[in-house]
Amino acid sequence: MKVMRNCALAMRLVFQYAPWNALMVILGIFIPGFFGGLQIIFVQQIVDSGVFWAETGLGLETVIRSGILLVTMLFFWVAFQRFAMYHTKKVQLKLTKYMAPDIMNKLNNLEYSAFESNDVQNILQRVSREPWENIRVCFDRTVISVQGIVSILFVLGVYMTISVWIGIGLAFVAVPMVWLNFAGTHCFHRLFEDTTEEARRMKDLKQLLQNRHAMYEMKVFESQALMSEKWMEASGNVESQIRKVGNKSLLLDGASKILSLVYFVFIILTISYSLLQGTVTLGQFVAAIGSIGTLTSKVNGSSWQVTEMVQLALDIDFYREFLELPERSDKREVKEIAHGDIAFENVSFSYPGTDRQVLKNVTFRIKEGERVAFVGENGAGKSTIVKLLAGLYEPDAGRVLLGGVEVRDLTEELRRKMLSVVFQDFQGYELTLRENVAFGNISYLDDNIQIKEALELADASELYLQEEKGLDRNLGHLEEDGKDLSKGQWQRVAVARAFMAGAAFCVLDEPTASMDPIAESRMYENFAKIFYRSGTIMISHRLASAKMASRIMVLDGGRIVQDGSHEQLMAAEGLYRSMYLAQSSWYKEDAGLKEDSFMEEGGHR
Amino acid sequence: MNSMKHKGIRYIGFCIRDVLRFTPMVLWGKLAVSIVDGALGVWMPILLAQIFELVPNLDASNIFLFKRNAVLLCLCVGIPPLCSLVARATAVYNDSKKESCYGWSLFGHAQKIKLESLEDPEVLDAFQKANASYEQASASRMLSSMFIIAEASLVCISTVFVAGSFSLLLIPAMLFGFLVHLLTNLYSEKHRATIYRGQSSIRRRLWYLWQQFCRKESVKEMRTMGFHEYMKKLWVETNVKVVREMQEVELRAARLEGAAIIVKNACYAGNVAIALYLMVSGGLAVGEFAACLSAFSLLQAELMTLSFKIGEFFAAYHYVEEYYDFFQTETEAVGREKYRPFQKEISLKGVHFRYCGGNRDALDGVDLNIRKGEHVVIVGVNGSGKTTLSKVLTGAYLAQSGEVRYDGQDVKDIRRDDLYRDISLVSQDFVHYNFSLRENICISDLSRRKDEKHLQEVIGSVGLEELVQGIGGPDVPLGKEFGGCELSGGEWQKVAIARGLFKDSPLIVLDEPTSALDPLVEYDILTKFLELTKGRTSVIISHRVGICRAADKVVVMRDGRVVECGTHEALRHAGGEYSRIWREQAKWY
Repeated sequence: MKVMRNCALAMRLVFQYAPWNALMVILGIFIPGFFGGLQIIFVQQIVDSGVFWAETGLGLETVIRSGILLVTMLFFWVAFQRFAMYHTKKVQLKLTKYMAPDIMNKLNNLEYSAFESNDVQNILQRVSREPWENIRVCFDRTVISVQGIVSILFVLGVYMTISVWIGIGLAFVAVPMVWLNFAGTHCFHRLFEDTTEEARRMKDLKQLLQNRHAMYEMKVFESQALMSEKWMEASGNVESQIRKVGNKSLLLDGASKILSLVYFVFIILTISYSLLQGTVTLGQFVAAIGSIGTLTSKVNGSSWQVTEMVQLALDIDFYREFLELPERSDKREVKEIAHGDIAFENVSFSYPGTDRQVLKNVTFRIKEGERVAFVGENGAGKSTIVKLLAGLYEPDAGRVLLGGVEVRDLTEELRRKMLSVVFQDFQGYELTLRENVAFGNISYLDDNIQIKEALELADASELYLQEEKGLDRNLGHLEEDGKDLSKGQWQRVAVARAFMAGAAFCVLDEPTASMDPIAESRMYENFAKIFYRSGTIMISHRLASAKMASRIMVLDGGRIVQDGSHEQLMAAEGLYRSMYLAQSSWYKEDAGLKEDSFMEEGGHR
Repeated sequence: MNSMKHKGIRYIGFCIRDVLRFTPMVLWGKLAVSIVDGALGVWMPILLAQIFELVPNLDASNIFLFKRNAVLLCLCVGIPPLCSLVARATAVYNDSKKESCYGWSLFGHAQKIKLESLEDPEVLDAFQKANASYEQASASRMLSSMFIIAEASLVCISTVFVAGSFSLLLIPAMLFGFLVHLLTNLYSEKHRATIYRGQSSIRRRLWYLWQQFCRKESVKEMRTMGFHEYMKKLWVETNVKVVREMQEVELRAARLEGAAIIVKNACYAGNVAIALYLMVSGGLAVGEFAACLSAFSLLQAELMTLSFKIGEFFAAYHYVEEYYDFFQTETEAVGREKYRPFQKEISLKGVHFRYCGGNRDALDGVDLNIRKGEHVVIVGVNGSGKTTLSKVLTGAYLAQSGEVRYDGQDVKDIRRDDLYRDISLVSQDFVHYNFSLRENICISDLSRRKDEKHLQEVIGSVGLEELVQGIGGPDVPLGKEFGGCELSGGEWQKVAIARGLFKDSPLIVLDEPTSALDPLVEYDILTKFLELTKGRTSVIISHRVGICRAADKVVVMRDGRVVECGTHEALRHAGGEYSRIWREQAKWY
């Protein structure tokens, strides 16, 4: 069963990373589990021997010995509890220390497609929120629940030595009780599965209501009413689902409680009756009756604990799935290549889990040091070419070659030497400026000259020149003295990062999308500068940048439909020319190029 | 906000207020359970003592008493499970209500806070914490643990007195042990909470770094550039600090509480010894001695519950603080004056605006007039204050000094909802609602939700007819998260523009709405937009200066100021900022 398997997984993991502390937790929790039963025995002995001593004046040492045993036991009881608590905390710390880095490694070895797949998103989301805590809590709960059951059975065993009727009663009660408890927890399991859709709705709404852009729209459009309507609908659904399942589980739980209650009353009455009959000694009576309150509360608690454990165990399903995610192939061993050409040979590709072919039998060759631009509409497949080049995905058919070798066979170092990429959704990291730039080539982390040069090339020198801490200033809000950059500034940092790499090819995937006109044109001038340093592959739908490339490839619907220099493509009728005219019309000196004239051209596509 | 912290008791007050408001049943349920449980807890040791006193000398005269007590004991044992059933029912009820009550109360408040506060990372952080807080039902948990603490303390004290009724000698040690235990527990929990709070910034960093390993955008870069190992190192090094500090805290707590346990157990052993001595010396009957023993062990058990619950209380209390702290965020000022639709112009005079925590004015004395029916385009480099200006214009941000007037009526005094009724917008970061296409468009003017004709017009004007037919009508849900239709970036942008147009308002603001579109579509949409908004006042913010030619007025911004203002033709030959930007962009074509 899933629950068992997951509990075992939690056990295994905790023992793997903190074996000693885990053992201590188990001992610290399990040993006192028997104390409840032992206490009954000791109290019984004290009282019985006390009575015997009172009547005969003999056997005082038995009284004293049992008394000492009882006191010692109670001492250890509390001490063990504290001991286990301490080791639980230690387990927690050790898991962050040893387990977390392993998770990081696993994340790094995952196939990249996992990060873009919707199914895996949920898993990764869970992994992104301190997954080791889930494991630890599951471990804790497992230990506590098992201990709870063991200690209840032990106490009942002791009761049975007092009266066999208690054992017989138990045999009657146990089966329905276990069944009721099981059904109750199973109910909750269903709740977990059923609410996901509704719960995701809630989450989506929450994200919307935390989004400042959405807030702005909501204020101006006065659409709070709709939001509140949606919220009430979703929360109402969640509510009725919880109620429904909750009521059912309460009913089952109630039945099991009443059953146990009947059993306890039966115990009290049996023992009292036996006392009157004289088949039970005073000590036995006192010990049994005295501990009945603790026993009932334990039984009460244990059904709750087991429910909780089942929930937690089901909850760590995500981690098991995470461990089972496929890892990257480890073939990357080619360390040298003969030349620096990039080539696509009959490449076809569709994203895993989708039907649509994004690239259809694409073939091209880019020579070392060449400046190439890919242009095309949204969804034409431009960015996919970049992802294939960077080795994030592998083609379904055909080959992606760097220097005549398939990308997936190159070592990471060599691939990096060949290729640096600025992605469309480039990232700004809330760390120091130095780190942000040096991420392009981490071995230059302490090389101020390189970093400054890269920033200068990216036209971002002002980011450190006016700052007190220079390159070591903090970006973002993580540190108190950190300041956020504008999107355009972040972009320049990202471009500087690419310059750091000093790779044979620099791939720029729409890197100027959020820049203002001046910054954009300066960036193009800088591109011109780096063109002399390395080959460039540019992806853009702003054709001004494409114009700077010596060769332009036009993509449409996953195929390359045009290939040539700007002049060549402008001379021919086609997609490129119509796109270019549309954009440039805004800037033509004479407004004579009437809107209608190129609307016709745009229209003929 | 910080000054509001540590005001102790008031948060408990907030909690009780809200529980009474939202789910009074939960409070009464918990209270009833606690009272009954507490009463039984107090009664149980007394009852047991009576039974044990009775048992050694059972005879015909007191057999009835014995039987009665046995039945009472059955009640004593039987009622708590029923109570716990009630407690669980209240928990389920509370759980089912938390989104519609606590959740909506939080997010409802969030809608009222000042828009610029949402730019403040501190406010956002507080928001997230508040969200996490109610999701864990912290208020209800705090109240539960509070009640249980009170209940367990009561039982402890009554146990002490039951034992004391046999001999006063037993009281001091029991009481002392109890107090030592309680106080050390309180102290170390408090210490732990303080340290934990002190680590909040370093924990945020850990959290942030960890996120980078799970997000596709950063993973992509880590892999292509190879700084994975470095990020890992950063995380591990940061974590080591946290771990070391927490280890010290735990060790200290373990030592302190260990010492307390020794003291407490010494007291306990002393008591057993005293009781034994009293029995041997004849001061206590055997039954009474047994009752003492059972009282002692009951006390031990209750103390364990107590220390567990105190830990829980502090954890929950911390969350509760985070929830209610968010309600202290400043709310938006709402004017009182009725808005008179403007007939002549909107005028800005000497407007200054600065973001919270900013070190310079985002708007540094803006003067501007926009006449009714004008198409105004605002251009300027990044960070020159274009978007901020548009938000001040619509009254979403209130200027710190200077004034924004609609026909002489100050925006500060106008009733906000009145004003917004006349404004529409397409923002730079327009929102993808995972609702139906109809809702996505009609959200700008819900009163016309049923106006099919208008909807079709708008859909047609932005060129979405084909898409609408393709996906199967306007009522198909969008967004793949819930199995709806996924649109491309460009299609979403069209939807956003349709949304802005759907609201038939005299003023419409467009903030950079075409950045994700390819050139042909961009051209098409911008021209059409100007056509569609004929007769309406429109303010367009754009990086593409090309659009300026079609505008009635071009506003050029730099460093938070309006540096130029006029028609495209006039400005292009003026040789100022505008002609520079124009040349920079045009030379590439």
